[in-house]
Amino acid sequence: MDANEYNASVQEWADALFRFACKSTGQASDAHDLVQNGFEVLWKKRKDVTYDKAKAFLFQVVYRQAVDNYRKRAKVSYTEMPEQSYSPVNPDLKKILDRALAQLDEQGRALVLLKDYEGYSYSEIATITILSETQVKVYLHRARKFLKEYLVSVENVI
Amino acid sequence: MITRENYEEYIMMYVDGELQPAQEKALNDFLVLHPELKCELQSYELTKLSPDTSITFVGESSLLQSLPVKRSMSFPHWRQYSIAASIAAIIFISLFKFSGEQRDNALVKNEQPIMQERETKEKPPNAAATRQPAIAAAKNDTEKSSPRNYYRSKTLVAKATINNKRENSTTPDLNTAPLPALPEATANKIMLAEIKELPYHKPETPNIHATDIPAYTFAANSSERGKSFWDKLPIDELKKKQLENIGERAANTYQEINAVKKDLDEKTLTIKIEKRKLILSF
Repeated sequence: MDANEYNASVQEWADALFRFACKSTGQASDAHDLVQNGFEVLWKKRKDVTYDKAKAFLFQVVYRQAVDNYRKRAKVSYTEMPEQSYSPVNPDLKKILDRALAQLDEQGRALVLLKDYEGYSYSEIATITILSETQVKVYLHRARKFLKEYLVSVENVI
Repeated sequence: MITRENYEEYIMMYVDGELQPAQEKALNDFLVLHPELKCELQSYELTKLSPDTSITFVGESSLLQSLPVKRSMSFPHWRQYSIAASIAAIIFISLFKFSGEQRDNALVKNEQPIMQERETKEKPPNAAATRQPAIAAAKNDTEKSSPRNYYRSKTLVAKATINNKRENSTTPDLNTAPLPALPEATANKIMLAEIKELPYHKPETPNIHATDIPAYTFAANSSERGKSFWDKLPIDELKKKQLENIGERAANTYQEINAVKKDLDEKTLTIKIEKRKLILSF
């Protein structure tokens, strides 16, 4: 990858990466650092990473930092992202889902985000997270089931 | 096979978009048979997140890297000029070499009008007014369209002019006499006129006026034959040397090109960069 392609990667994926980092860590400042670090690593490894693999590489770097590093910390406080925009159709659902997402563990959250935000397949998520496809499927389904049960329970309360 | 025990997995795979068409159909069939489970599918579909596009990374420009300056391999300008000069020199030299070989025939004929012009201009205005009518008469002859008449008249003009000179000059022998230098303006004019008409100092011989023969017999002078046209060019020795150097360099370049061509024929490419040789074999 040359400088042109690197810059194209920045322009194309910086926002998506930041969104993923924000939702994964729950902290905008941490997310900013993660994205910056991700692109620094990409620039250093640009000779080994081709342009078509750059996006997966960036998510891999950010995922590792977001999940692995944050997991090592004794306490991580996930604060909901400032409510910048919510779907006008069903704002409550969005809010509830964000809350449910905050209840998930880092890995489950990251897997849901990679699936729903970026549309990665199980095998692609397995590559990014360095898990087996079966593990991805199991962890993702576990997270999805939790979200569903959270939604149902809230609906029951309401 | 979808059962009540594993249907949830299929529903989640359906929400994730990971089901094969056949599996999708199987799930649909299963839900048709168990409509009470359709709400499960709807609940899972609600868990699907959509990206919040309003969240954007601020400071994207800080991540961008400055692009390297594009470098292109090109010959330096002086080298381009030297190649152009070499080609020009080859053409220039080959032209004169060729002309030198052919001087017995064509060149001498071409020199005649120049000589006439030069000699006419050299003539001092106060010189032998009595000879003017002879030149004028000869000139009138040149106006006649017949080629034979043209050369005859040229000879007449030369004859008249030389006779005229003899009267004014103290040197008895024209062969040994140093020729008067061409006026600079005239020389430039002639040079610009046509490349074939380049003047050179050709000593007049008595043959010119001794007999009224066609002009091509000028070449009969044996002392002229030994000299090449190159030697007779009205150019400084230093400039001649410089031209020779350019010609030599052009010849070297030509040889190098031939060597490359030969290499290509032998499926070997030799590239010489400064002092290093790169040999590519195919």
